[in-house]
Amino acid sequence: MLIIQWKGWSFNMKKILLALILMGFFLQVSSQIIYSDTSKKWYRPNHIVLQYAGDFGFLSGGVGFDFVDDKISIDFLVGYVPASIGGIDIYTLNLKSVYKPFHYRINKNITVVPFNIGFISSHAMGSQYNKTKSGIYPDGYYWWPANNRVGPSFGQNYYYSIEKKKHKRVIEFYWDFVANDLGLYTYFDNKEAKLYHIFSFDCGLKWYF
Amino acid sequence: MRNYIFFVLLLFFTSSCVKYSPYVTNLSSDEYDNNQRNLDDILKIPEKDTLCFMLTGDVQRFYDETNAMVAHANTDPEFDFMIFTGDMTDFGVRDEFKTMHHILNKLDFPFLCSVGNHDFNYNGGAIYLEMFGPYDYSFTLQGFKFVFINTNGREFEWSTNVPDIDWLESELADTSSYNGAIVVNHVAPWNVDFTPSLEEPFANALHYAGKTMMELNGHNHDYTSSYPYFEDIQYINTSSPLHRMYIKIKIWKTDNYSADYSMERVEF
Repeated sequence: MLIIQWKGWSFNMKKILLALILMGFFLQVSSQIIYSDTSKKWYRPNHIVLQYAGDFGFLSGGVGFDFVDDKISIDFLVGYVPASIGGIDIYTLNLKSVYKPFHYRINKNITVVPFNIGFISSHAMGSQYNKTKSGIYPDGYYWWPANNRVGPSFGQNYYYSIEKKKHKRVIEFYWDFVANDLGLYTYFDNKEAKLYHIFSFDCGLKWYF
Repeated sequence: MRNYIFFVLLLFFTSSCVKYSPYVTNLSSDEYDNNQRNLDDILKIPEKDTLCFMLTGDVQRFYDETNAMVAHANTDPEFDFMIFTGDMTDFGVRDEFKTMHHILNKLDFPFLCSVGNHDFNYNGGAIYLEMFGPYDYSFTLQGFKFVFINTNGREFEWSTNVPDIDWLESELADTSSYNGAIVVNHVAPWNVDFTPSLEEPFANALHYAGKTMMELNGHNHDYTSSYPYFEDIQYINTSSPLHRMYIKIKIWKTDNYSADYSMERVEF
């Protein structure tokens, strides 16, 4: 464990990490990434998104909103796995929240978020995903949430902006690794389960209006 | 640079790190019809005076313990095959089926599965049908009748066809064709998850067939053994590997066209 001592204060890695995250949150007040203008119509989505894989489906698509100087995004996605790929048709409704603490402008057009963390929530359509509500099971018979997969994610975002006369057009490419609660239970119950068993890769494109 | 990016992307897109949904059901080509493939191997076992099999069940995500159990069982050269009393998975998702399939295939001898209530979660029932085969099946091995029957009544909304008593009776009916019968299922007949109206018919079917030696079940995770009906058939609830125990059973034929058995608990 790395411990740094300074003027009677002692810092370990956890405190330093916490401080860096807080600094990212409070000190980076200045530049936005995409200059999303939410002043006129607050309910209007800022972007559309198309994603490949990542527990939401083979493909998923939807709309999203940006908050807090574009540091937080919340996307709503509808996902689909065709039977030819997953063995059975699966339709999902999904929520993805991502926090982007830092971003770096590489040049006039390209901005990079080197590290983001997020939270996913996924809901599948079909009676077999909701059977604990059928009334034939006592409370807690199957102890885990039946049809609400939640889990952490981490990844990177790359933005490419095109200056137009009136406002910016921005395209984003991102990739993540996501896990869900079913995998996490297994990971924490078994020494032989590894993180790469439970995390899934995904990538996607966003188009900012 | 372009080649580097191409190979990194190819690695991601083709590796198991890409998951579309936890609820998918597709399997690899070597993961289908395990019960039939293992049964083919079991029926090739040369004629023996005494057959010896291992009994376990309820492995449900206890991967560390199941690995230890498989390693321990492989040190015993007497085992001819293994009987599994159900609950291969906890959540019924495909990745659990695949992981447990991989672990149990490390056994030096074949294994046969009964279906458990947890295996019906989400799309698990469909995965089980493809990976292992029908829920109800039977076979005769060297004079012993083995009947595997689905007793997860609650999962079928208390269907009066689960367990299928007519099928069970017909399988046990021809007592001239076997010395002793062994019935394998997941939920014991007195359990709250067994269709209540079928408890008595189930016990009667086993008893009045006349040559039933034992009933092997799981579901409770802890070893128990009793003679709950008619005091002639032993009902054995196997231990989950979580409790570091499995059961070793030996069966042999006796003179008067009958059979006998012995049973021991093995801790690992």
